[in-house]
Amino acid sequence: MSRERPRQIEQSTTDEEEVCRRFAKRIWAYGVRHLGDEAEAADLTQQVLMIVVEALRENRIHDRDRIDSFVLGTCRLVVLDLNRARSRRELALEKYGREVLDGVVPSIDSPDFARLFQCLHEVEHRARRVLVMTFYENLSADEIAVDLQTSPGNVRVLRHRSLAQLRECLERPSCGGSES
Amino acid sequence: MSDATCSWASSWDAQIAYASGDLDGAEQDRFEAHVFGCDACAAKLELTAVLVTRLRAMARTGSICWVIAPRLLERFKQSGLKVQEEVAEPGGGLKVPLRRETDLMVGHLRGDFRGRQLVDVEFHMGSLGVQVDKDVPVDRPDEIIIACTRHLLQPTTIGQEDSICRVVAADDPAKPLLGEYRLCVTRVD
Repeated sequence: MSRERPRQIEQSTTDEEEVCRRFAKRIWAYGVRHLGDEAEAADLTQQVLMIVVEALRENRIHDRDRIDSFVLGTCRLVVLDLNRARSRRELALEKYGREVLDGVVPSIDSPDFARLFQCLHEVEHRARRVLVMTFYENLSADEIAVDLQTSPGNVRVLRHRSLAQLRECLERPSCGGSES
Repeated sequence: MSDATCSWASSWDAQIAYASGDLDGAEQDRFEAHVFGCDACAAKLELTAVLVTRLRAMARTGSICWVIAPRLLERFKQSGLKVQEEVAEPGGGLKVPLRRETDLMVGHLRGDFRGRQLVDVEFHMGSLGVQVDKDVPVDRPDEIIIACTRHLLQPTTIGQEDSICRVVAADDPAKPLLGEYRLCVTRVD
């Protein structure tokens, strides 16, 4: 082994760490948007980073300035695979029962959620209903509008305002409950 | 990457639109292509994604809405939540033990809500104060469904004092009382 090789290996490892550090949270946020599930987003992050690191080691990423495009493209492909796998899992769930295969409900009695729950008290019922229909029932603005007998534009306004309200509340030193 | 794109992608409007699935195909591609290359916008998106995941987790356990539609109740049951359902007639109440395995306590508040589009649902919780859900759509003419997750049922008040739930017509200037119900969870295992 030449004297240069250990330095090259060290540099490669540093590059890989830098890529992981830089893109992990971006990939995770992408997964939250496209997979709708925190755990699956974490899966996506792991899979994409493995692919990217392999590609770096095999010198398949020629233009390092465009690595962000490579990572994004990999995300899209892996999400397609995960969605296909999810379809198969959903069929299995129907067949064998959710109790066996469904994930554990996350613990929401932690401090992380307590503050958010306090802030939700300040959000009107109608807006909270929009949040549930958007992020839990995965309904579009058009579908929510039909349910609430309003316009899709008004649904988006309710959603936007309530999320902004929550964000402001979470950033305050403390918040209290009020009429909703 | 242009300043205009960065300014747009970092805005709260764009972040929420992206997280909610409101961007069209081309806009979404543009947003993602920018965020993957911009440290500042990526950091903002991470905060947005954290908020969304927290909301989703809370919604999944029934912690966001305390008056719920029948459709949502069915979805909770199908998702595997252990739901304990009790019925209360007007002027009556719920005085029930919370079962050990219960994730979500649901109260079917029976009453005559025919012809009503919207109601206010008031939760008078003794020492914990009053919470009012205003302008709640009436999904069924014969009942309002309330729900509370296990972890929100305060151990210090369980079995010690009754809460009162009042349903008031929101779409009538006189705000007539449509039903009043006593609520008491007697025990936590």
